Amino acid sequence: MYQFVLRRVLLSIPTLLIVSFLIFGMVRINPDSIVGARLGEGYSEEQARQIKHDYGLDRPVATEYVRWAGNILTGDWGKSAYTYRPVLAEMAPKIAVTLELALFAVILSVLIGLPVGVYSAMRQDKWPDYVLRSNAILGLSVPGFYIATIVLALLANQLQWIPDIRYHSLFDDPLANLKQMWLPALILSLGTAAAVMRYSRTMMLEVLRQDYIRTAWSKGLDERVVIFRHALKNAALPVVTILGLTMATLVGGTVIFEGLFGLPGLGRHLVGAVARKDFAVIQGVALFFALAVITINLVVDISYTVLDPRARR
Amino acid sequence: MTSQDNYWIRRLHSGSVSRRRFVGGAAIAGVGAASLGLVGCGGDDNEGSPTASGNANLTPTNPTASAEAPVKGGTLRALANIGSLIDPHTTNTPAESLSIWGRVGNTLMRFSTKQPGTTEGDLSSGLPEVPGDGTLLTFKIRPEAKWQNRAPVNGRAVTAEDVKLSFERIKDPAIVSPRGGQFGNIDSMTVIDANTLQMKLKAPQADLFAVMSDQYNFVIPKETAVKGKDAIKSAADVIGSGPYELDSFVAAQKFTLKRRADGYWRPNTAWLDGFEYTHQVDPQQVANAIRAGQVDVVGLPVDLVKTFEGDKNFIITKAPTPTRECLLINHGKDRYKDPKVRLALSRAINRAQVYATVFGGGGVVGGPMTPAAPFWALPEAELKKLPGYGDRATEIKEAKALLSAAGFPDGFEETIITVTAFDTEKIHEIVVSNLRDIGVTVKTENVGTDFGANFLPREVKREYTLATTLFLSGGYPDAQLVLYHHSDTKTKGTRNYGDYSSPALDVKLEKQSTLYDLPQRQQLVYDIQRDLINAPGPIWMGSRSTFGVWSTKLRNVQQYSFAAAFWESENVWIKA
Repeated sequence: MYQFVLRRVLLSIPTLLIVSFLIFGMVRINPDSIVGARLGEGYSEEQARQIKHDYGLDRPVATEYVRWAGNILTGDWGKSAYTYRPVLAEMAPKIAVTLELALFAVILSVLIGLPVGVYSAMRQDKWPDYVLRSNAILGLSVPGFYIATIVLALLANQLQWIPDIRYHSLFDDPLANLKQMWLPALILSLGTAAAVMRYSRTMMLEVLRQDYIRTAWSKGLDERVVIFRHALKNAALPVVTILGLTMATLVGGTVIFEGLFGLPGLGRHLVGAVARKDFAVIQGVALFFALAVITINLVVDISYTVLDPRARR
Repeated sequence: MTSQDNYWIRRLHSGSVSRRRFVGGAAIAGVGAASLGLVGCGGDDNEGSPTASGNANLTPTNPTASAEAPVKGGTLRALANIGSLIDPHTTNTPAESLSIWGRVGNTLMRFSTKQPGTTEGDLSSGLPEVPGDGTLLTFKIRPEAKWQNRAPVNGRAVTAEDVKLSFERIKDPAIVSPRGGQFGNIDSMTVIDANTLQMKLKAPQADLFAVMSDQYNFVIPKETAVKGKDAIKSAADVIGSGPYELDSFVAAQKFTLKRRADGYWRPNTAWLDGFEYTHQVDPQQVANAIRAGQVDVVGLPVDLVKTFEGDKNFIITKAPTPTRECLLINHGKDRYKDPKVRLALSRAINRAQVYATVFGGGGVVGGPMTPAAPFWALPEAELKKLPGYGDRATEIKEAKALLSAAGFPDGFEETIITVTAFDTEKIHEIVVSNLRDIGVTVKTENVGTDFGANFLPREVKREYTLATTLFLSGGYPDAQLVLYHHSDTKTKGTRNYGDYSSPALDVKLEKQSTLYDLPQRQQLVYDIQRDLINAPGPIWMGSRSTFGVWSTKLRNVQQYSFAAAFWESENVWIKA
């Protein structure tokens, strides 16, 4: 088990390195653009030189990368060129917002997708199954941000109501926070819920054809007992993998959803930093997102082996 | 967040949550820490108008002007693109400059709302004394002007030294202010006494008053100014002499302003208890927010503004911005050294079509001076008689004749660069179709979506022949005329990216800069515009408009041209 975990951790390192090269390199493709972003048009050469120096653009890229990567490892993620505050300190309060939204969406996607998938399997090729499968395809094919835009416009126009645009922290006012978060989390979860539904339905159908389920039926057990005690556990296991895979999509989704719903999370922070060409913040948030997705997938892999020892082989 | 702010700890102390639940709640928060690590009044300048505009519509609309007596009270809620920099001298975004400093601070001079495009005193008691050759300016600071009652100024009077150190701070290269060069003509500043500041200029500069009225050039206390680059980093550092104080500021999230407790020194203004700004930039969500009653005023693009037309709950205001749409010509290319060719292109551009099609009717046809500064822009009646502004059939006929006279009877082929940003690409489509009408076939080179990174450098380096573009600068003659047309591209015409050169015009441009007499200067500015329309440098089209949607409970709402006269919000009040 420990060897497996160690092997997976080591395998993550090259991925992280590649990601760090990309993140560091991409923001430096056009170093002149940052001067324009900071100073507009009417700047002097001296001011341009100062800005480039502040951003480390007047030094070799390789040297800068080594310095940046070294600092990252020691916890120094740089300072925002706009606020002059440490990148990590700026990110910290925003991480909780993004994490809450993503976790809320994951929970909702399981709460919606799993029972619907199981029910659909139990009613295979009957009208509830067709309806639910059609809805799942809809959830998979229509982008969440599009649904969110339509829903918000409808609510505003028809009911003169939208979730509060002023952010309420979970720690300050949990009730107001949940009132604010449920709608974005629900819409964000729809795509993942559809995937969970489709996957759990397929797995459920497979499990329901197993000999031990047939044995359970033949023993005259109640349907609920057969489904929930014997079939669901095995059917639900692979869903964990799906959740791991969809986390990257969910994290990406938060970038748009935070903007739409006025949530001060990391995604909106990233968008603002891109607009301001605040390199240190862009690198920090992008690296954090990459680390989060890699870590989540690592945790999913490890948890899967705990739940199903065959996966270790 | 302090422990007193934490809901879970509060509940634990009050006994209404068990220790187990507290640990659970804290654990949720712990996962985060351990495993992971608008301008309210008008919006941006990328906007249009619901109705066709002419110069007659330049006067800012004020549909709620009423005889009701203003009453104090209420909080105005708005949305803005909130950034991170609250230092007015270094920020480059309107939320911090206009929405915060426009209420917290004062400038030495300010834009007049009675005569848009001109200035009047703000902290200065009026226009300065300008004796002799116009290089010595003497400003009298209002003795009644007081700083807010916050340490370290504690409500003391605003002095000439505050003004001097503020402008020196903007000029200081170490501050890296985008407006660092604006005060370059000031040779020295001398504090004569607490209320008298004398400026010695290198050359007369009438538009220095407009520069001093700029949305970013606020006067700050000397105690703040001497702290240098990092002087203004938090809400506590924001100290002004204006009617409101910055109560709280969360970067990229929200800020609140409250009326200064010690009372504003300018009577019968500042009716609101405060302002509450929330970050939101998505136009659809901005529209949703005001529909849902969560804010009182928003800035919106024209397509969304139209959805509010006829709704009795809202007031729509509009005004042109100083942004000017333009077909830029590289005069270094042989073909365009012939003024007949340039004039032919100018006559071919259907400016009215640009604003009717691209901006849904929201914008004003104009010449080299933006229509957003009506005091300086040529009157509409005269503009219509000049080449490029007449009826379409005549313009096309004359343009073809000009091309024939220049040796291009069948037109020619040309490449025009453009960019997909700020609706430029849409304007370009109109330009292409207009030029086709006179036989000019256009090959388009679209450089992408990054204006600053991919498009502007091409203009600056003269790596183009023609460019469909836009420019934003202050609504005063030096910023609109000298900057874009003077042949000295190193020091005066620094945005003359087409290398337009006319020694005769240079003389006029320099002359108007020195004229402090407004009517005299206005006539010369008119004359320069006529010259530029008859022998075009860049081909100017006009200016797009900016819009506000306001709740009807607000009184004295007005829409002004972008940054001009932002201080007018002092007069807004809420009808209970």
